[in-house]
Amino acid sequence: MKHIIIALLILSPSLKAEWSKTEFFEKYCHECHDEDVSKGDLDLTNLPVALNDPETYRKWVNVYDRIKDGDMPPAKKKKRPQSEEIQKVLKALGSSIVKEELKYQKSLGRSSVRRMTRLEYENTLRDLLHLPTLSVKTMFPADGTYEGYDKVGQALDISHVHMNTYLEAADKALRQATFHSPNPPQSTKKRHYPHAVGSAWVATRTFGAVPLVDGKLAPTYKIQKVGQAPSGYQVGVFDRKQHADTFVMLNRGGGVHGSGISFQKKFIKNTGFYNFSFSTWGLRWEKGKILPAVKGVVNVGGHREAWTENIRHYGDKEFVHTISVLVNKVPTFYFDAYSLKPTTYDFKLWLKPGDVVSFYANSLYAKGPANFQTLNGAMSYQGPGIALDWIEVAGPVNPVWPPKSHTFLWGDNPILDRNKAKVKPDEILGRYYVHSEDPEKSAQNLIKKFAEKAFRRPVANGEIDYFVSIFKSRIAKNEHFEAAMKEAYKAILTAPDFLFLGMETGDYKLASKLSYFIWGSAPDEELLQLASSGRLNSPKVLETQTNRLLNDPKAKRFIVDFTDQWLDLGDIDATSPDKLLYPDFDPWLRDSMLDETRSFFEDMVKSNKSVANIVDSDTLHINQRLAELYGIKDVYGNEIREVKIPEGIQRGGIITQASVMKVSANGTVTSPIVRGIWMSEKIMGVHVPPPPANVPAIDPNTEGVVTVREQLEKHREHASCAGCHAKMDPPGLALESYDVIGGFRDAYRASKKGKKAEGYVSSFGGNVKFKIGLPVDASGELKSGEKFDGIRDFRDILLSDKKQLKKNFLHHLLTYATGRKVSFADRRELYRLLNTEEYGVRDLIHHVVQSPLFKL
Amino acid sequence: MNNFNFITGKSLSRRHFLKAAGISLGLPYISAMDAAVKKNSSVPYRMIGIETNLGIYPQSFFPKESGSNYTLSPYLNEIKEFKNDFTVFSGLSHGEVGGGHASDITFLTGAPHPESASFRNTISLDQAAADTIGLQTRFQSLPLNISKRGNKSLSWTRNGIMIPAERNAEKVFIKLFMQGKPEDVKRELRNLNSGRSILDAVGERSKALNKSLSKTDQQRLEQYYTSVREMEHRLQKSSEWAVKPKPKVNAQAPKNQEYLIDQMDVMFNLMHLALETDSTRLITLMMVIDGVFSHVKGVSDENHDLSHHTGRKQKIAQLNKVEAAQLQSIGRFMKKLKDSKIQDTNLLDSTMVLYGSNLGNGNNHITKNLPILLAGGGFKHGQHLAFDTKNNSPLSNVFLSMLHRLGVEADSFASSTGTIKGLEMV
Repeated sequence: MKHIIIALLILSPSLKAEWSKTEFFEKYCHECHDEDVSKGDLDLTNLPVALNDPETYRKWVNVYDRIKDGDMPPAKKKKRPQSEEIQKVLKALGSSIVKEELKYQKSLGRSSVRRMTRLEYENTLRDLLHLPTLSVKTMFPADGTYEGYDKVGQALDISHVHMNTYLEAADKALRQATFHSPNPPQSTKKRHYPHAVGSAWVATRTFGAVPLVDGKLAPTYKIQKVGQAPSGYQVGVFDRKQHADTFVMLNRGGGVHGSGISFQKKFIKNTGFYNFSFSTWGLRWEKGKILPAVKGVVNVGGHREAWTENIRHYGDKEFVHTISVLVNKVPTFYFDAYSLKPTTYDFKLWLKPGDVVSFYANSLYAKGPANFQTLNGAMSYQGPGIALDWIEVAGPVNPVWPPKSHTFLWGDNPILDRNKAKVKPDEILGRYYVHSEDPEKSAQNLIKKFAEKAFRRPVANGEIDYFVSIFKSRIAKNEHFEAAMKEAYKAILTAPDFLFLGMETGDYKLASKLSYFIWGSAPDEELLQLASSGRLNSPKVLETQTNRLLNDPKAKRFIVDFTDQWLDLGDIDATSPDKLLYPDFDPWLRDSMLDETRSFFEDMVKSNKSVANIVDSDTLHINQRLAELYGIKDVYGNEIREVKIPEGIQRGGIITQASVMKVSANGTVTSPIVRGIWMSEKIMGVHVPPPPANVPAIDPNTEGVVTVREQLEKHREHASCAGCHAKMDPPGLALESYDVIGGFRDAYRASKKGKKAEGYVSSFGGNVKFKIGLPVDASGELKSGEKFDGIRDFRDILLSDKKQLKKNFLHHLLTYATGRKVSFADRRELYRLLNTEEYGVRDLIHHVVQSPLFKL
Repeated sequence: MNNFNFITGKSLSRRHFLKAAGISLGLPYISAMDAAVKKNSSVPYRMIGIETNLGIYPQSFFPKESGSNYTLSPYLNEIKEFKNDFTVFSGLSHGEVGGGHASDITFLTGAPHPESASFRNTISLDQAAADTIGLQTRFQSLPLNISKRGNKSLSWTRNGIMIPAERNAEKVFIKLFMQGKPEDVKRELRNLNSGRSILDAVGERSKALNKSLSKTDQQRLEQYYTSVREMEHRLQKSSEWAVKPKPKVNAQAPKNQEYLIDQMDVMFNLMHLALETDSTRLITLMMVIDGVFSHVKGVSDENHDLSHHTGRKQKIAQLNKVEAAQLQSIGRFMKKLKDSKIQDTNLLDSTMVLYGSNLGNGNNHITKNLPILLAGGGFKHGQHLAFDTKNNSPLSNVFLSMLHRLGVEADSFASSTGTIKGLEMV
């Protein structure tokens, strides 16, 4: 292929572009990048200058960038070009590249169509069918990414696997949306006492919890021996038919399986809203006695070693415990449990049969009282506890019947009883079915209405023929109305008009662009109406609408999805911290970390805070658990709140948040390389090329005998490694003061060599086994020669070029919002946005939405 | 796009013909040919690809000597009775695959740079064969996984889409062996039929829409259209199979097990049944063993934690126990395959069992010098094929040899430079 192009070039000298005639490349580049040396696999003497081959094009863009970034020619070269020479060659090469790209765009057109991501698909179905908890995302394979974003069309391939799953997912959704009952299910209200609920029995038996009567241990509660010493053990026995006022949890998961006190499947028999209320409080369990929730010595009983809770942080103050509610194992709500002060909380959930709701005692240890035969279970345990008095469940509540989802699909067609029907419909399995007196007319109307919603635009009568004919073909096979309609609906939900964004026409396309950007889902009635009247495209209206969407609760989807992709927060569970080195990591901390970053970024959007807040801020968004990790006193409770950064606490901006430290480490050790790449690409806007093949690896060691910095220095002695590492390691070194769970450190934690670790607490129970090892050195030197010692200095360096921070953020936001990579020609628009006065994140969102790149 | 030059899979190879002609000396020419055809098609080759995702402790896996006269390493000693039924490789890797854990999805594909933010996967080894040999069985291929959750898979389509793996053994068993009631079969056929007419309609719809789009967008719609057609074709095949009764097996539906080694045994039993009944000839098993506890004596820590032993002796000791137990489970599987006689051979001799990891070393995440074991499948085994542990040879060369063994006449696979040197077919 390459040879053909070269041959063509020789034959047609007129193709030779202006910029390639300069002597620049011959003077400064050919020494290394010729046929013989061909460093980095680049031979400029034989690289065609015609840019119409994509690979050649990509190479020249790379040449442009490397010269522009000052990487090339290398600094160590004696023969270096003057800055005018560089400017000249870049200008000529740049305009050539732009010209080529525009030519290409003219002939092929710019892509403006892409399929939905699986997350967008789920959101869209949830909103379209009024099924707020429909779960179909994980039925699909994960979407590909382009430059880290799954919204980019190039990454959104489609295969037979998708087609199969679209059919299955649509089937699932339609079934959930249809209600086969002419009357609403009876709503009931019942107060449950936890000891009698589902999994609580296991918790009682395994000392995960104990029942109280009149504020004291239930008199009939007994400890029983099972088996003989030495392999025997003990269990807690309490007849669940007896009454108990309160259930005191002594370990986190409430029993051996650790998923909390669960309302098992049978509790939710019908779909609808359920109102829950419950009463909870915190305490300290002292061998059967109940004391205020003050931290102290924890003793599992008997010969096991006792350990101390985090007194260093909390002193003798009362500790606020936290309890969370999980729906199908996903943490959904958090509540504070105050010391000896029962508090009642309410929450509302949309549940369907099979959903499991559980209560999880976040702030307790993974393991509570021991059950070895020689011990005495809960009766010799000293430690924290969380009380759950009662849980009230009222539901299902359905404000209208049939529910919205049903009416949307079936209009006012009645639900009939199969037992009373003259002709029994074949395809209906249950007793009830949806009936239509005039199936064909009904179908025509319903399909049109459904298609317009699904396709996010008006639909011409001719367009629905595809779907009506599906309906008719099922009817022709003697199928019943409901069954035939479902197939037509399935076809609509599998059609390209639904699955591909950008198929809409005129302003409807803009309506979809905006709503998929901020809500990750289809436009609502107001947006569609503005599109219909042709007013949406006016800058003022577009701005008002952008604000409306940002102020809507659904904007949370943007906050979560964008930070998941931009900052890699979606990888939060990719690694689990080493239990020996980081026993202080727990699920509460993990959830709090995500909350912090999301809340911080949400505030940047809401209050239009400057992009400088990415690297520095006066306040933190923390709760009690994060305050404990960051060493900030007097922050109690689970709620994230804004706190002024106290003197001496080295935090501020997104770059020092625990979530970021976790996703850029592997759970055991931090690597300045990995974090350096993270900082470069996510914050500084510098692209790091992948490593060449056959690079020697660094063998992580946590014994406390060698630091990663020392290992890196050795690695960098390889001449072939030094170049890139000089660029990517320093930002990572600046973050060395933060460990893999986001704690601040002066020294590394080690498994073998080092001082005894004092004042740390294991969330699993037992003693802390790690040592305080070698000291941390967070100093470094940037390629530009700027030196820094620690995060503060480094932050100042970043702050000295706010424009670069803005450029990086705009680049990420544009990619996410447009679903396209920022191409070379697009850089002109990027620079135009960059040169606006605004630095506020909300302003930048508006700039992006108003940009021609967004409207494409 | 398509690097492969597929043949129909049923043609009679010259070598087979000569061999068959040799043993049928004296028979009329035509019946010798018949015998060869029969032999060739009645004992087809099969393939299983297994990846354990956290590396295998290299010091305990790789033998010290190379060639056929090598001493078994501690791990290989666990399957010593099959020494002549497997080949162990060292010095292999996928050229441009880096990225540590991210490489778990490229073990059977070899696609470069899985760590890149713009990564695109390519076709996996089993799928490259599925087009040719998959059509002869009820299931073209069977992607499975062992994991705490999710459907992560080693199997990937030609355009780089993951084919979700099933982790629920009971579900797979039902899919493979439980014969539905007549009305269930009727309903299934109805759904397959309806699915096809839906796909037909949306396929037509996409063709109609295509006209108004830019060329780039047309390509996206064309990919949609191709996928629609491919799924239609698959539903057609499923309809044909749906009317044929499922094979009967003398086994109970298995239950998923909580612990790693138990679950490996469950999956291996299932795979054995699938092969024995010729339900499929291509199986992949991705073992995503993070967070899965092992149920091995003397092991209390979690797998991922153990793989990052960071040099701690106590961790390495536990790691050795877990990994030895994995090899024992593989050994039990190999025995089952070997004990299953089919005509004049057995399942092991006609099934390639590839076992290995995407990581050469779980502690430092390096993706070079991968631990690779290939058992059965009609190769001359009993050797340690040692390649350069610094400048590795392509693992894809082994894959190309495997494709040829399956009767897929591909010229290359991923970064292969040819078939693997030193591995000969029987």
